[in-house]
Amino acid sequence: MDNPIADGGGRQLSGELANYFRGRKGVTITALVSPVALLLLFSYVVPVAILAGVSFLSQDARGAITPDFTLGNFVRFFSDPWFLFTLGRSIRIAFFVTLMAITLGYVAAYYLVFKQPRLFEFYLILVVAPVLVGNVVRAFGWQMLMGDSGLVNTFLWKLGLGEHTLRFMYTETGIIIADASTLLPLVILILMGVLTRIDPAYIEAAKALGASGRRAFMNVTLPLSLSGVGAASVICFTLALGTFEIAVLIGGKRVQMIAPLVYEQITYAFNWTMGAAVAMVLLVVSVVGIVIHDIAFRSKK
Amino acid sequence: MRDVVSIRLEDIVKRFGDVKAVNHVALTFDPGKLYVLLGPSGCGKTTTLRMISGLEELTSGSIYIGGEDVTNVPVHERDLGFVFQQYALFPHMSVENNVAFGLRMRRYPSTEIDTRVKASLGLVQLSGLERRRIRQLSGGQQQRVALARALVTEPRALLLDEPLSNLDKNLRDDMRGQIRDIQKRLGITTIMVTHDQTEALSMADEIVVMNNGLVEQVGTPEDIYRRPSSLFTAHFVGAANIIEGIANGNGSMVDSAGVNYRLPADRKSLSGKVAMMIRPSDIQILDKDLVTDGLDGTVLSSMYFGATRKVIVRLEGGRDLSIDTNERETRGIADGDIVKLYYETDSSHVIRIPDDHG
Repeated sequence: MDNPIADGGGRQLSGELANYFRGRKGVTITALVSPVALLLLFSYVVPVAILAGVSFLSQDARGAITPDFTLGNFVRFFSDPWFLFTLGRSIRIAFFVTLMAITLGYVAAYYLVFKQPRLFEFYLILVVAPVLVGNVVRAFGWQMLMGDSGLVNTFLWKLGLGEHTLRFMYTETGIIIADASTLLPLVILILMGVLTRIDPAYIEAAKALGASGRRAFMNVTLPLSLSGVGAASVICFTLALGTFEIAVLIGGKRVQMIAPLVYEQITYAFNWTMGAAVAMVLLVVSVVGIVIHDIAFRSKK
Repeated sequence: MRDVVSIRLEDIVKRFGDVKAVNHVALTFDPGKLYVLLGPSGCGKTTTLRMISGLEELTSGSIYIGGEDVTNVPVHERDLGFVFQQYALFPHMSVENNVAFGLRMRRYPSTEIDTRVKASLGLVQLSGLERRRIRQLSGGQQQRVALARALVTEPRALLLDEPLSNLDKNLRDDMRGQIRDIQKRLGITTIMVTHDQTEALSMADEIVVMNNGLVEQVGTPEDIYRRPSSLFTAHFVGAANIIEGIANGNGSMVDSAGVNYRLPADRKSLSGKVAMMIRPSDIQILDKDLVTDGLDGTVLSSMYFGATRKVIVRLEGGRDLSIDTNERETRGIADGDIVKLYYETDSSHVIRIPDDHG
């Protein structure tokens, strides 16, 4: 460390690298980012922009979109109790999904990061494995397990506890549990990243200063992970709000959610402009969630 | 201030897998003194400190603090102050709240917390920075917050893990004095870990030299520097000229080149394989025309350090000795000069070399 030659050599080398990139920085970054940017532009920005535009148009009697600007779709949305109820229910479900996924995910991530179990890799595979299956298959899995004539209810019936004891299918609770379970792997991975970045020395310092394990967690680990938990919550909430497969397969017609509503407006009702307006409302609610998170955690700094 | 306590390690062992990081160490730390655990990285000094603090569990052995067996007492009940190498100050709290943390954990009333935090920050000369965030502080200020945080609860002992290694040189010299000063003022039993021999020599009441999980030597800085008990200590603490040879039992030894060296008074009766250590600062370079006594040699090279000059002299017979001189005494010295070397026999030190084969 005190060797001036080695030190100078290192600085010179990094200097050369810096010079190399200084000249080409703009070019390099553009080259690296443009494929993703193009993909996002055509698969996300353009469709959303079109959708946003369409949501302010109307359709004529034959269903053709006419270029007349109108707020009618939004007026209809906010004056129709069914739409509002569906939106409210979706927000409520997304809230409880987030609460459940974050709570369970935090416990799991904490265990994996701080307790360093011997079977760490095995547990990690268990966490990631459900992602490989896909939501539709998982929803069917829940159906087979928790349906009115599913495994659990059949078992309870055999035990003599009556028919259809557990109501899971076509209930909000069912959607919440199933949706939380689909989001759990993502939440666990995000929170593992958050917890891994906390220097264990902080926790040791708390204990050396007289904090029991529980108080070290409450005063140090938890507050230090809070901004990460916030970010994970926003992602989780946004994804839960847009839940489609789970909502359709577990909720069915009885528990209507907002994403299937968009689908139905467009596919069955051929009401493109109304579908676009509902989609815009969904987008705005998600953005509001992100903004709230941003304000909450910016004020802390 | 609480009672000043002693700390005793009874045959402690720490095994990480197949590696014995600490290998049957027994030590007693007397009350009120500053001890330095000194050794190269991986010698087990930090592990030893962490076992005393309770952050690391023992594989076997026991630890006593003030006569009480604390081997199975969890870290948060040991009542010790610990300063971490990277300080580990809580980034989400102000300076004030960092220092108050230990008091809050002990459920002190808030008025007393305020008084104590103020006093503690005063002790480390940080009054006025109470509301600062940790990342707004310089390295030296962070260091002092860490010290204040560890001391504010009036712990039974203070443990410091390489507390100065992250500071630049000037600040390090300054903090050395400050830590030593505070330690003396509080009279708190203190154990500090470092790999820096200058730090150890300048701060310690006693130094514990460790190597390969074992204690090499325990002694005052002067003991360690002047009378190292092993070649390892001689090499690790300060620079040393080591001349190996055979002592013949009548007050002298012969090296491999056949040159005779007189042994210091307290080692005259030694016989067998020995190593003589002469500190570079104990050798004088004299003009060959002025003296007849001394060792003959030729200046091989010299390096200028401002206040001192390091000179390498090749003796007749081919051995190179390194000599630290006052720059004034060797002004004008040039490579190739023929010189006489002189050292007092009693300033040399002889270490018996254990016979490997037998």
